[in-house]
Amino acid sequence: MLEAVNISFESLNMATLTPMLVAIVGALAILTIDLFKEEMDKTLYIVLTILFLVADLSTVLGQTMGERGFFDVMLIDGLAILAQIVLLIGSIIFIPLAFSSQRFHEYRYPEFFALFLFMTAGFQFMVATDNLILIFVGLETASLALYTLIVLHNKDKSFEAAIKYFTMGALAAGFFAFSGMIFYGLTGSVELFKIFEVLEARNFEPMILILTASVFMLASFGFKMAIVPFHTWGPDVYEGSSAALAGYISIVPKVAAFVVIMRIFEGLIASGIVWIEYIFYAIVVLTMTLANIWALVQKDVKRMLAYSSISHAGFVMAAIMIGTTQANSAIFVYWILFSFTNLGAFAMLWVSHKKDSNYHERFDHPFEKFSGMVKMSPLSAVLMGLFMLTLAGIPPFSIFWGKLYLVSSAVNAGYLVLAVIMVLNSAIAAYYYAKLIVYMFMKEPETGVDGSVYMMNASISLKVMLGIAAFFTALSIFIVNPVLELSDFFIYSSGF
Amino acid sequence: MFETIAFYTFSFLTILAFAITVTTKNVLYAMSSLAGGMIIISGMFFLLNADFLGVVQIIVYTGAVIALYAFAMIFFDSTKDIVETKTGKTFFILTVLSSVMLVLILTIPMASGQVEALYPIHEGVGNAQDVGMVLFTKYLVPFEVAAVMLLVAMIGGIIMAGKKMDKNLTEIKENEE
Repeated sequence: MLEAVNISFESLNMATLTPMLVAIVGALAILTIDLFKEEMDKTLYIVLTILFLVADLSTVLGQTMGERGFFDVMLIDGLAILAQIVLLIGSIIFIPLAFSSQRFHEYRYPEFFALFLFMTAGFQFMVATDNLILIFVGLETASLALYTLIVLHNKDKSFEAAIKYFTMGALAAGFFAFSGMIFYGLTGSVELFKIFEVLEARNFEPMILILTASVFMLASFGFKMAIVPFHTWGPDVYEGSSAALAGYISIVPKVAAFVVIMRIFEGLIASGIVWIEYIFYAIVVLTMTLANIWALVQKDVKRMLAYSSISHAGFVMAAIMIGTTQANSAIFVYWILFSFTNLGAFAMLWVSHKKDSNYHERFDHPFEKFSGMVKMSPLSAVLMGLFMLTLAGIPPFSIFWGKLYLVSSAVNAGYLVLAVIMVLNSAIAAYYYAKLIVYMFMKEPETGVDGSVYMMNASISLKVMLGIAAFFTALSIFIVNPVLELSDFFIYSSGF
Repeated sequence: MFETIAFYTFSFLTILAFAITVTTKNVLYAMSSLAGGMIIISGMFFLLNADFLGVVQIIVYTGAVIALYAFAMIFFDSTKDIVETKTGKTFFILTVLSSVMLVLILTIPMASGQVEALYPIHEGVGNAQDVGMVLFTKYLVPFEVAAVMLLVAMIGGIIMAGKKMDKNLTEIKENEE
């Protein structure tokens, strides 16, 4: 017989698990409230969600770095804390977009908010561990919730989007499991630090197997993050989900995926297996360039923004490939700045949501919808113009600083060609963002429309969110330095 | 000797069963052979002395998953033959060859390397106890998160199939109900 084990409560290190527990308890609480009292107004659930996320964030801020808990499965290092902070702030600023003035199908469900909290917990599990099994389970929890959130919009297009996302996601999950299986077969462990220990001890042999495992892993996260050539579902999903959720998809799930990729691939690229770096290089260049070129020919603003966020993700993947401390810190600086801008851009689409859209037989937000916007609704035109200029990386607005820091880290690490490609791509990107600005400021409005559509879906809280996004975007010159210091501090202390 | 014969018999039967699943045109044949293949796989687990996993394989895959498939199939006309648009012989042969290559590439280096398991089974201890000990200490958190994942999947399934999805509030006008 095995001996009974005695485990003291202190050795579990409960603090490593508290943040996720807060989110899960919040989700269960929302479900329970609905059980006892049906048909409550959505405002109750929105506020509850925000409250639980804030509580979650405060427990994250109370965590100490370099801790392990629950039999070394949970890992709280600087990277985990920073990623959780970004994830939670992203979620907190996106959920108030549910305060729309129009009715939407998804917000009638309390389950929408419960699933939202479950999803956040799933992402947190992904970033706060180096155990491949927990990463997998966290990823699937979050993905399953996200598919459902997309469907709840309840339009034909959202069903299509969710089915596409689900099929691709299932394929990605299979790839992840396969890759994890090969790593386990090679090293007898599913914990990343142990995997690298064993692999280093035998000098990364047999290389073909490590390469296969890495390619499967890269393909898996390529699907999850819509990296070229695995991006095909991306724009359709953005088109099918509501603008608010599309904005969320473009920011928060990618943070979690970046962190996992960093944990897995920093070690592999540093191992000196040249092929992994080549594959990464090719994917980065393809993602940045092709996504930009496709964005040029889009007729719908939302699809254009979808391709643009694929391209931005390519920029960040470049930083993961470079792998220096400066580059890793640049990832978070870039992504924090990008999330405020993208919040603004997608919120602008969200406030102009109209139920019976008759601009185009297929698209909700064709470019024509915005033509002559400045004559009818100058303030919203200026705001939209601000976000577009920022996404294009025009100084002194926020993303410019992220790009600057990223390119300088590429130059410092000796990747001169990559730096040139990045700069060229920013120039291409400026063209399609400028296209929308031309439509808004230089074209004549279509006959028979008034400006009311641009603020159709606005409410006080949506306007406040737009104000916050515009504030951080326009005055980013003052917040870049604190963000940079914060990110440097966490990345440096966790040794990446 | 006996183990080797058993291993090759089981491998041959597994591949045969799943080949029928993939190639047959009748859904019922595909499902029955899938169920058969799942049971034969459990034989592999028993050969490896992993009796607990073998039993779980039978109960979960054959008992639960295949039964679910069967229920889903009731809603379709499963007696009809599936007519496939693409049936190329070269394509089929290439697929088989490349999958065999992939398996060889992957397994040969793995089999030659000396790999130590992180949690080997203990001599003289029941399989279920051993699995339970690891599952409820080291893998407690992944185990519980998997439970949360199933809860999420259940909630998602229930609300997607629910009555409220019939009417679409996103598209109908504000003042109508």
